[in-house]
Amino acid sequence: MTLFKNYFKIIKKHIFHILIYSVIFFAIIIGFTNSNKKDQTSYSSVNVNVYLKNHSDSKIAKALEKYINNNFNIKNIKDSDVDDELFYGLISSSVEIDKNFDQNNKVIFKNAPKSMYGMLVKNSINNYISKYKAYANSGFDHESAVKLLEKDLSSKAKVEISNKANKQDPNYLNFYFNFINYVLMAQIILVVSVVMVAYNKEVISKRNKISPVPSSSQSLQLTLGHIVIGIIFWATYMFVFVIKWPDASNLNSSKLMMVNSFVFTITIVTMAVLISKLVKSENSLSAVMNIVALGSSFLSGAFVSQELLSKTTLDISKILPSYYYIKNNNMIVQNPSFETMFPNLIILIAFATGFSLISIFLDRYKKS
Amino acid sequence: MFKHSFKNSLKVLLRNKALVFWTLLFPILLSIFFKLALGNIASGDKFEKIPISVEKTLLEDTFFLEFIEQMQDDGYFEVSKTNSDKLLVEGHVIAHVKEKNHIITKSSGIKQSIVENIINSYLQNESTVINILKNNPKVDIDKIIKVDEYVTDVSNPDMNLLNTFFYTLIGMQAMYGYLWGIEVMYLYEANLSTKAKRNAVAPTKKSISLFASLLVAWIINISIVLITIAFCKFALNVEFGDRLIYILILVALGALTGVVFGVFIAVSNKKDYEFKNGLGVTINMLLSFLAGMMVSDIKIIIQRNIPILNKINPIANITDAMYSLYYYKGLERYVSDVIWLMLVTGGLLVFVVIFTRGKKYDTI
Repeated sequence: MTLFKNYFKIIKKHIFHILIYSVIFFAIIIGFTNSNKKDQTSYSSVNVNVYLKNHSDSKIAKALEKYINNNFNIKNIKDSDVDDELFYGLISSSVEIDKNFDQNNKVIFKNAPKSMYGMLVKNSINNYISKYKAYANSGFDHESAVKLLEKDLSSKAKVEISNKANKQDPNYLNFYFNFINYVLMAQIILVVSVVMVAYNKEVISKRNKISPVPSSSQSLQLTLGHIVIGIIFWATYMFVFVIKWPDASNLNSSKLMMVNSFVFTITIVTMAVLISKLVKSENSLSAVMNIVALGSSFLSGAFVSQELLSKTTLDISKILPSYYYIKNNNMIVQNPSFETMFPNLIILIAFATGFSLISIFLDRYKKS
Repeated sequence: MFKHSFKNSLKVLLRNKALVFWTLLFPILLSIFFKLALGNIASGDKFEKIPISVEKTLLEDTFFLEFIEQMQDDGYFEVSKTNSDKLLVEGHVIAHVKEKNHIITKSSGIKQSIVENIINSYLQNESTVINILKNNPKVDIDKIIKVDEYVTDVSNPDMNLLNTFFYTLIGMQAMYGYLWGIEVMYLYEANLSTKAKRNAVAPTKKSISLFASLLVAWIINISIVLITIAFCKFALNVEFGDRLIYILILVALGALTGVVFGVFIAVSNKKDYEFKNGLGVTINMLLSFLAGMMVSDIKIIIQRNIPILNKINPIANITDAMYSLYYYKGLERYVSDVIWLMLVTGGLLVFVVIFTRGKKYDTI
């Protein structure tokens, strides 16, 4: 088992490069999940972030200011930052009540790009002013108009989440399993290629050829190394998942996603072996690894949900195993049963078989 | 002699395929990935008619029917009339209006909130009408419930968040010019490579040949960034505004910062080539992250809390300068970004001079 042991010695040399992916991944996971603590079992209106500035001292302007304050999430930011915050969507709209509001009823409004949230704000303001004017025009004085208005605006419909709807799995589940598409690919391809490039060096491979260990045993040991390393990575991420979300790990969908990711890991190992047969030098290695891992992840929806990708992008990504892996994750969320993911699982296994066959063929071809 | 060094450095550097890949092809590939993956995101928030279902019996009330039809005509709702919440459960509609004051949904979200808001406005109108009619029975109801436009919308139409990803990418690429900087220093710093030893003992004036080589690195880096900008603009439809000359100034300066950064990494420590390269990538990735390449909000969050961090981050400066040329009419912000970028470059240069000047070796 000299080769097998040596496999891990080579990895040890590159450990920093390999682990950096895990570190970045964990940082992102922690950052993401801490900002997503939404409870989906009861209904709540969306929180709209608004920048508000009132230039008017009039009573009606103050009443409007109070109304906006009560209904939206007012952000205290510097005047000079408003445009930036709008552009980046950190606030949905900026509202400025004109200095002469009591005469002209003018409100200056800026919306974040293509945001639906801004529409809510705009409608609410128009609604408020229109109603106030209706009261005023019908002979009500300011105090009673505002009082009645407040009462009117407090009548709200009851909104409920249907109990017939499927209980939604926490969204980090899907996020986590889609995201490991990238780290698994990057790390497995990196490790397998680093080891194979080392063994494929002319001097080393010639020396190995004349060694007393039969070549079948050599390739068996290396293959074993690849599989073990794949499983180690997979197991690590599953372990982290279970530790981070002990409750979620009992869900049926989590278990199915684990199976899905295991099959995917095996597919990636066979893919990595194939890549290592094509890549000759260490220089081009990280280039190929980055293109394959980043490309697959971007195109198949590991970072951005598949629903948001264009049809062309999805069509292109159908040639990649990642597409089927991620599609399976998304389908499991909708309907967590083994039958749901079975067809795509078969496709992943077909990919693995295909990659292995091509690798074997390349070996034979080289020998002859 | 200048010409000789210039020509040969150009050849040496351009023949390095790994460098050309990482500095030119890799960012272009990333830009294609960005476009394919994020191209649709900007339209994700755009308003489209919201499909809802309404209980048939509710529409026997002519006022409510009129209201719902009005909302449909105004482009807010796509209404289906049903007897149950079947369409909601099957996922064809976003919300089901069961009673005038009772809505059922499957989850919370912006579309659900808009439905809630509009149905609320009906209930509130009812209450207003009753109040006013009590006081003044002759009043015209249509006038009471009419909502006028009081809001003056001055939103900037030049807004596509997707563009900023490309700006940061270009900032990152300019800084990737550090690879050229390192490469050049390996040709001239005698303690770094054999070639440099040979160059050091060559009967040429080192300052001239070093200057020629750095000039080559700078020109290559400028060209590479310009190629990527052209690619993004013409192939991927990324908007850069129309103030070309300012973009050129920014690119030239950014490309210089990248090369100087590489020189700084090369001469500031005695570690091997691999380490220096890794250090460059790591710092570059960190700066790109802080400038918003992975999560665009980061840049604004930093601006809110630790603004100085954005000022000394060259990638954030380049991103911000490009963004301000695209989004703002004035040039103040651009000028401030350029000045900070100059300061950072100048600072790096000072260190480089301290590390490299007056070196003489008896033996290495």
